[in-house]
Amino acid sequence: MTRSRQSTLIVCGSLAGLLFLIVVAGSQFSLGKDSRLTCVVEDTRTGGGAGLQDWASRMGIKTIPLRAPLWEVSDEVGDELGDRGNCLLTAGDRKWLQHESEFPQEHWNKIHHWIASGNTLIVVTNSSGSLPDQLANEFTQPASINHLVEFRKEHHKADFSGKSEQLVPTWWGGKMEITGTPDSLVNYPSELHLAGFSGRTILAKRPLGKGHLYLLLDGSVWANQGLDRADNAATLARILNETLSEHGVLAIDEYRHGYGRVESFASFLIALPGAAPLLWMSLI
Amino acid sequence: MRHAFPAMISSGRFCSALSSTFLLTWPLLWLSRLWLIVVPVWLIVVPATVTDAAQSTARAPHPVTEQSEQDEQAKAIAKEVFAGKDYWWKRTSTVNIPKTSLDRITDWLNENIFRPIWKLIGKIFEWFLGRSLPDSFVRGDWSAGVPFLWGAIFVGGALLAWRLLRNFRFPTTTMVPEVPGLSQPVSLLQADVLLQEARERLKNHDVRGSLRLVFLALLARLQDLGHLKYDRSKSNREYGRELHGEPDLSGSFRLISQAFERCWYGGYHVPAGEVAELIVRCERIGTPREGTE
Repeated sequence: MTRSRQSTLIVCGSLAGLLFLIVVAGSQFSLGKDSRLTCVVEDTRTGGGAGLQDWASRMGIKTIPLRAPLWEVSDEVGDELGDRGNCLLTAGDRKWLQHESEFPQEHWNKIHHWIASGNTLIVVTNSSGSLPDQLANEFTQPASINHLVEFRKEHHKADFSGKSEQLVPTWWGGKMEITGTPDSLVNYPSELHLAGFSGRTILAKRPLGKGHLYLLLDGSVWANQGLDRADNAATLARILNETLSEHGVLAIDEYRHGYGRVESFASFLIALPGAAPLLWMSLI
Repeated sequence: MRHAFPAMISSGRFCSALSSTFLLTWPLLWLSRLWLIVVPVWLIVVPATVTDAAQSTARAPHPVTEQSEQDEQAKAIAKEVFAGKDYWWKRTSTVNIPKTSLDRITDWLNENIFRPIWKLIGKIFEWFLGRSLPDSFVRGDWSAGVPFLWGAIFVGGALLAWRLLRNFRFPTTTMVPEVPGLSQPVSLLQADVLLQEARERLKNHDVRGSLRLVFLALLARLQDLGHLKYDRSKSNREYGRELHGEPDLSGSFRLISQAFERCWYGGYHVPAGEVAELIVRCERIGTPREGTE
């Protein structure tokens, strides 16, 4: 073998090794701290849920990342989640289904049935526009009242005194720290209002059959960004204490954020830890 | 007391306190018949016992206290979790570094040019992928890498298609230099023909033309031996780089190419004897003496 071929092989080998390293451990070298709201358990940045999972485990709560669609929760993860007394948390600011303009009713019926049979769904978002209409209607059209309840976006953040973080009182007397989300529920029934300012609900509860639906309109509170602030963790602990049965599981929805079960080669590639930086490099 | 006494009765502590006190004091009462003294005392002691028992019941952990302990525990665990090294960013602080004019320019470019372009590309990807792909292809929401994956696949596919098309439609052919004066096209592989023509021209005192043919013969011989590939667009430096691992061949190439460049491009005179030596040297390439197998 000539020297030139040797050097070419060394260079190619080094590049291949570098690419492999990036694929395997690329995310470890990231210096970024911001990520969008997902509560994905592998994400240790602001919008991730690695801290939530760790916290729940230390609190004695069993957690699982849900790699199946929400509407299949009762069918596909029956082994992990029992029939009732479980809690499912889904967080994000984008639509629940990217390609659908409206969330299919049959999907919602399945989710509704699962909650009504004695489980809890916790929805966390910064944007009420991301919610499926059926879910939004559960909060804006509660059967018990006849006055108008609506989602409202505060463009001027008048109640937040110009600060990015703000403490809001909770139903149990604690203070929850939020990052100044512009969305809130207005005129929500006081008995179901869990946290927020007067007339503006940030954390709302809605009973559905034997189960419950919770809506938190601030993405930072239970994600890595804010779980350790003020009484945020205590608030979540109280909700989980109320809703989880003795063998109940806290499932965190990851399917919605592309971490679903591997159904195609593309989804397998994306599941690799350093896929995003590698793809950036490939594209450039 | 008002709340504790019913609790005492319901829990049975009152009855047990009453009966034990009575059993202990009855023999003494019977013996000494000090009813008048003992009864008032008994009436004082029993309520006092009951009061103590009631107070001890009130000190038992109250649900509110227990709940607040759980709250504190939840907060403490959260603090502990986020003290880990994965959450280093929670312990950073913002430092105000004065911006230079270069920073301001790059910020402006980022904000007004690059970011809108990236956003536009992202929108195009989302629009294209949202409409063209079936939902079952990648289910769930798009993660940050998906548009780039498809971009990379698209670029890779386009490159592959272009290469395949080029190979099929324009198959690679060995390039042949044009040699004025020769009646038939000369293949580079026919190095001997070129060298023969070089000798003829040298005899006719066409040193310049002869030297060019020697150089072409050299390329032909090296291509024939698989050390380089002739291409009109390549420079002599690039040919030299291809011979990097062959010092003998590289030396011959350098000698002939430099003489050719000096004469052909530089206009310098090269003695006929030197050209004759180069012809001989070129002929020897490929023989064992030249160091190639």
